[in-house]
Order: sequence, then C-alpha cells, then structure tokens
Amino acid sequence: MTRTEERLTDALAARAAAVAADSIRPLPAPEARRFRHHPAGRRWSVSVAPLAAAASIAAITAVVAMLPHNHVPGTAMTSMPKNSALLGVAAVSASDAWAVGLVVSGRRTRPLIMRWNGAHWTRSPITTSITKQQFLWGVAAASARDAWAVGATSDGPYILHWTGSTWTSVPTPRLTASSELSAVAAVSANDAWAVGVSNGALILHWNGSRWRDVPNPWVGDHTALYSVSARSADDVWAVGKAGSDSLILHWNGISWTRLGGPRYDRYGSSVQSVAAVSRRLAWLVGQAKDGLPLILRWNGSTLRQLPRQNPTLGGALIGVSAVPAGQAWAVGAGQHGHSPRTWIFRWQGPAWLRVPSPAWRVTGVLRAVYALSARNAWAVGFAGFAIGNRSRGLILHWNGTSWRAVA
Amino acid sequence: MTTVEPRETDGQLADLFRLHHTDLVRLAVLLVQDQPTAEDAVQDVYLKLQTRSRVLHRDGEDLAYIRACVLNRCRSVLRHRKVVSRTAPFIWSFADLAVGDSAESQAIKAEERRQVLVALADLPTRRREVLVLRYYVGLTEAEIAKTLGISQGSVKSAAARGIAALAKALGEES
Repeated sequence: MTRTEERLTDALAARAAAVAADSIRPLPAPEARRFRHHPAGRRWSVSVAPLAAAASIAAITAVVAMLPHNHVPGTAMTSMPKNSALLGVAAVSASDAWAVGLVVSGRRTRPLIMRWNGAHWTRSPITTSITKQQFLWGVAAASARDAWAVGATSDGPYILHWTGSTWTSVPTPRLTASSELSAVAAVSANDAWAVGVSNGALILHWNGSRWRDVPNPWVGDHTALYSVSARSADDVWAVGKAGSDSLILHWNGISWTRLGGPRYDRYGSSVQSVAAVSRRLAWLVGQAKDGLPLILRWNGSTLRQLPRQNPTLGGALIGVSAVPAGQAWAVGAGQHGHSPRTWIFRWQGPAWLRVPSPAWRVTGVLRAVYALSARNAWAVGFAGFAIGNRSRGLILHWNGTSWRAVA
Repeated sequence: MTTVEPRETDGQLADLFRLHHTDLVRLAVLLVQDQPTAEDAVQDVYLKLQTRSRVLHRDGEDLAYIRACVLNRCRSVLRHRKVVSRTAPFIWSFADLAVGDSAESQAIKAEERRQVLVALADLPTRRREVLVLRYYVGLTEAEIAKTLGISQGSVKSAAARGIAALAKALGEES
C-alpha cells in the first residue's frame, strides 16, 4: 500500500468509527410494512415522519426553553418554516431589515426572504418558477427602496431586486448551471457587486441598468468567491478560495487585484467573509488550516493574522460585520463534541472575544451578521446539522446589551 | 448468469437490512458526510425495499444489492443538495476525528484525517464511491464492478485516478 492508500484507509475507518452504533436513529419497526400502500402514498408519512417530527419538536423546545422571556420589545417569537435556513442578512434602519435563505420542501429548494418591519419578522412573498431549484445566499440594501438578494437556480445565478414593493427577478449574465452567486454588496443605486462561482471566481457588477460579467483571471475547479464588501466605488473587497489557497481580492475603482500570494498560504484555504470598515481597516474571517477560527486584519497596507484567544477551540467564522465607530461582530460555529454550536465573537479594543450565544445549547450554525449600530445588530443561520436537512432558520438580535433569539 | 435459489422472502431482506444497519449508515456517512443525512438515506432505502418483493439470492449478493441501493440514494442526495456544497468541507471539519483535545499528536492526527476526507469529498462521485468500497468496505475490483454496475476496467481506472488525485491534494507521491 502506498502512503496515500494507508492514510485513506485510516481516515475512512476513523470517520466510520466516529458514528457510534447507539447514536444511529433506529429503523422504523417492521410493522410499518403493513402501511406500505398508505393512501397518502408518501413514504415519510408511514413511520419515519413521527420520528423526524419528534426530533424537530425536541430541537424547537430546546430553543424556546433557553430564550429569555422578554425578546426584542413588542415581538413574539417568529416561527420559521420546517427545513429552512437563513444564510444572509442586511439592514437599512432599525425598522427595516432583510434575511434570506431557503426552504427545502420535498425535492424542491425554494428561496426564502424574511422582512423585519421594526416589530415583526414576516415572510416576504416571492414570485418563483415552480420547476426550478432556487435558493438565496446573500442580501444587501442600498436604501429602503433598493435591495438585492442573490443565489442560484438550477440554471445558474439568481438575482432578485427589491424596488420598494416587490421582489422581482432580474436578468443575469453567465447563465450556466455551474454558476452560483454567494454574496452581494451595494454602494449606491447604480453601483453594486455580486460574487460567486462559475468554473472559477464569478464577479458581476450592477451599473444602474444591468448586471455585467466582470472577467477575471481566477479560474479553476476549486476557485470561488464567498463574500464581498463594498465601502465605496473604489474600495471593494472579495474573498474566497483558489485551489487550496485563500483568494483575497481588492477593487480600487479600476481593477481587481489579488492580495498576497504564497505568503498568505499559511492562513489556510477558508476565508469566508470580509467587512471593509475604512481605507485603513478591513476584517477577514474564516477557518485556518489547523481547524481553528481565523481572523485577519487589514491595516491599510498589510494583512495580519490576529492571535487566538483559545487555541484549543475548533470551529469556523463564517460572517463578519463592523460599524465605523469600531465595533465588529463575527459569527460562525464551534465544534462541540459531534456537532456544531453557534459562535459569536466581538471585537473589543485590542482583542476578539467570544460572547455567549443565546442559541448555544442547540446544534446550529450562524452564517451571517449585520451590524447597524453599536446597539443594533442581526445574526442569522440555522439550528440543525446541515442546511435544509431538518434545519430551521435562526435569527438573533443584539440590543446593545445582549444577544437574544427572535426566531 | 446468477443461479437463483428462490426463497419465499417477505421480511428477510428487511432482516438482512437490520443486521447491517450500522455498517450501511457508516457507508452512507462516508459518501454524504453528515450522519443525519446518511440516516435518512438509509431509512429511505429500507422503506423502499419493504414495498418491493424481491427474490432473495445468496447472501453476498443481497448485501451487494442493498449496498447498491444505498449508493444510489446517496448519489441522488448529493445531486439534490448542490446547495449544501459550500458547507460540505465545513461539516467535515466537525467529524469527530479528534480523540482528545490536549494531546498534540492526536490533534495532528485528526487534522491529517480531516485533510484526507476533505480531499475525498472533492472527488467526482464515482471515484469517491470506488475508493470507499475499496478502502473502507474492502471489496475486490470484481465486487465493486458488480455493486456499481460498471466494468472492472472502469473500477480500476476510477481507483487509480482517485488515489492519484488524493495524493496530489495531500502533496504526496502516490
């Protein structure tokens, strides 16, 4: 056996052994057989459904149990659809915010848009085609009457535009099945960026009338952009991966350039999110090669990795957001035994510190955060192991003192 | 080709399934990565098989048939959830591969294993299936060919290419 074969055999055996026999959900009782011609004709309606439902109910009860009694003033807990996940969040004001993601229903994946009106989160209607898989990864708002949500359909990139009353789908370039958008950032009504993957990095720009493909040299199988942050017309960041290296790009108003090169390799392949704060400050977060959370700081001339508070804590930071006053948040998930648990990190003066997440007791992942002010921030994600697989969208709110779960 | 020894079967396939349930879930975990999805895929197959009357063959072949059904189901799960592709490597990193968190050698070992699994997850589905059947289940080329319904030549080349891709991703000589 070669070294590679030995490593593969060992890794497969270890991964399989980690699935403890008594942790596996038991098969339905053989008696279920007599229901095989169930009139509903739906296989899960037989005997698995009650099990699955019981698991979800247990999870929801757990979420509810740890909630403080007073949520955001005047709000009741929002209930999220089954098999949902929230992947992006953006806010315009204290009474206007958006969260986007998806709902899996049977074999279909549907886009999900939630809106905050200052008192409640409610589901926003979207006109969608029934035949396609569609989902949303990111959202950005230039104003109350101008917001973008991006993701993918089974045909390629998917872009929705909010113009004050409805979300409508707009034409997109690179309409091929392998293309997907993962994030969007808006500077103004005629300047927005969307990034993703299309046999390499995908960069689209909105000029006020249409989305245009911005050709770029970063192509390849394992090359993709995950996040974009636009501070002004000539200061935009985009991050992702190129092969096993991180891909960190900056737009100076004229062209996109890649930062670093080989000397950034040690930061690992997984830079997940970026927040540009000023000309001299940008935060980049992700997961380092050693499995620990990664935080990089741009000081106007170089990127530096920040020292870690607790080097034994494995996990990843997936979203970051900052307000110009200096406060910054990063969210993600940490390893807790077999399962991920939500993480919230806060930038406090010279260090990033982990703060308690109200959803810490349930298995789940936070995917995005948006800081509106020092007293107002939203974080979204999902409770569950994996997106869409018995997951539920999660919405947390920061009121200046503590984080609370509102959905 | 196969000589069939027909047996009256209702329930026997299910019994065989129950006997191998843990192994089937583990097999599915190696293909779809997270345990809840693997459990779903295996239960799906189980429920489907219950509604099907199949003449049982010799034991080895029945197990091969069940495995083939699980592989098919995993494949369609993977196709269906392109949407999760971005989180897949992330979920891998939570695989409980680290035994202790203090012993450095354990942590390094866990990270090495994680790298192998991440590289495996990046392979095309067919190659990943062949490698899992060969190096986890321990099947011969002929058995893999039968399970996947492809020729032995295809198995050989998928295995060779899969190993070569892993070696490259891991920076090793294969």
